[in-house]
Amino acid sequence: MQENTNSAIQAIIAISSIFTLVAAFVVAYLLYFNQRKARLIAEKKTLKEDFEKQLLRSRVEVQEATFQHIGRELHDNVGQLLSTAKMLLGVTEMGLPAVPDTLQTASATLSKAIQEIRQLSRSLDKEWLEQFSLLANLREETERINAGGTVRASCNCSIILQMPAAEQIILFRIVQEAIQNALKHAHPATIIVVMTEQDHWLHVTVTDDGGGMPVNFQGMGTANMQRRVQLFGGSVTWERLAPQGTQVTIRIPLQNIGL
Amino acid sequence: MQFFNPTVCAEILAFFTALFALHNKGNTYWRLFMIYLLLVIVLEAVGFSLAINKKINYPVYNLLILVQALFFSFLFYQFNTSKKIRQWLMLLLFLFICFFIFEGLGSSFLAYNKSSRQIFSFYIVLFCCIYYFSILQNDEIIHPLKHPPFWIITGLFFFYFGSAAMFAFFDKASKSKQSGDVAFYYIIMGYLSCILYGSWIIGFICRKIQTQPFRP
Repeated sequence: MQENTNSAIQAIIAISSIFTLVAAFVVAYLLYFNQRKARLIAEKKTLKEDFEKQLLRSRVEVQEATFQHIGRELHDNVGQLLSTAKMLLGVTEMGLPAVPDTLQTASATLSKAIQEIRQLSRSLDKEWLEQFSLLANLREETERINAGGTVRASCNCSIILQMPAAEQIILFRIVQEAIQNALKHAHPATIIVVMTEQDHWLHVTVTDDGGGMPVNFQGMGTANMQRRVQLFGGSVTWERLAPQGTQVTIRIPLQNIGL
Repeated sequence: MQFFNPTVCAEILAFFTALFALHNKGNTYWRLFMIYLLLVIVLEAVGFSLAINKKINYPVYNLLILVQALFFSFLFYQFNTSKKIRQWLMLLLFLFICFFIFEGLGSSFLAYNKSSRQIFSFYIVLFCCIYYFSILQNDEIIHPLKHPPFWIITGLFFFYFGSAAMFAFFDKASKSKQSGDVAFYYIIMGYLSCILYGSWIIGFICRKIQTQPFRP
């Protein structure tokens, strides 16, 4: 009887130990498998991010090529037609004993149109942009706005940027879009562009004192800005200012520049 | 025979850890652990006082099985978000309660419901495995060692899987004395309780860390 009890106890100890070991094995296997799964998910995420970056880059390149094409078309085609029209007007003026005021105004308007088209085609031309720095382009952009006489724009960019030309263009397009949005939607009196570097981050703010963008505004331009900023692994935020105005803040990690 | 055996000590320690870690409002259903552990300690005390007065204490432990079945099923319900698994959980709980009542009526609940306890072990182990499987199936990255439900389930898994053999030989295990006056059954259950409540204590602390307000 005692022997039976002892063997039963031994059986219980053996089975309980085996079961506890099996439980430990199951939990250890789960932890190991979960770790492998986490690594796979992380790799998949990195691959997806890389793919999206490549896709964005291609999209930006296609967009730049389109801009370049439009710029050349404007310069070579529309620009030439306007120049021809201006030349014909000149010939007409020479044949007339007294040049009417309307003809003179038409000639002046044509000259202005030719100049505008040249400027526009230049700002769309990638090759032209590559010859200049981002900061120089931004200053030129603000000067162009100031020349209009209705909005006062200023650029406070006192940093030295070490960026490849291709990335300067992307950043320029982002800031250009922010400025254009302010001009189109907010009708401001002043626009201030500030570019600073802090804690290995590039901060660009475009502040205006206009009526502000509509709440939850989501246009094609802002979506483009977000996509372009994503290329650098940065962020773009829109903030309404009190009593009025909007501030667009672009933050880009400097470590991602030049990759 | 003494009241403060390893099982009761582990329960009291887990109860105080639950009081410390789960008292804040954000813990929702986690706060039920405090009530559950208090109930378990009270039932243990009642069972012990009946035993020292040479009275049958099996009805108390039968009631404990029922309380555990309801509380653990509630936990599995909370930890598994799949509708299908929840439906199966409810169905199996219903069947288990039916079986428990059927077995209990046979002895007017005066004997320990061994078969119900064995089926209950199988029920718990099954849903622990389903929980583990759901962790592996989840597309999100979960760090199990920092995940409070993982510790709760792991404690249950070790306890019920480890004690399965014990309840298969319950009669012999509960009568045989291993050292002094202590039944062999209580020694093994003491070890397993330490694993169960140890895991729960870690789970409660993880939960406390998770729900702590962020201070920069």
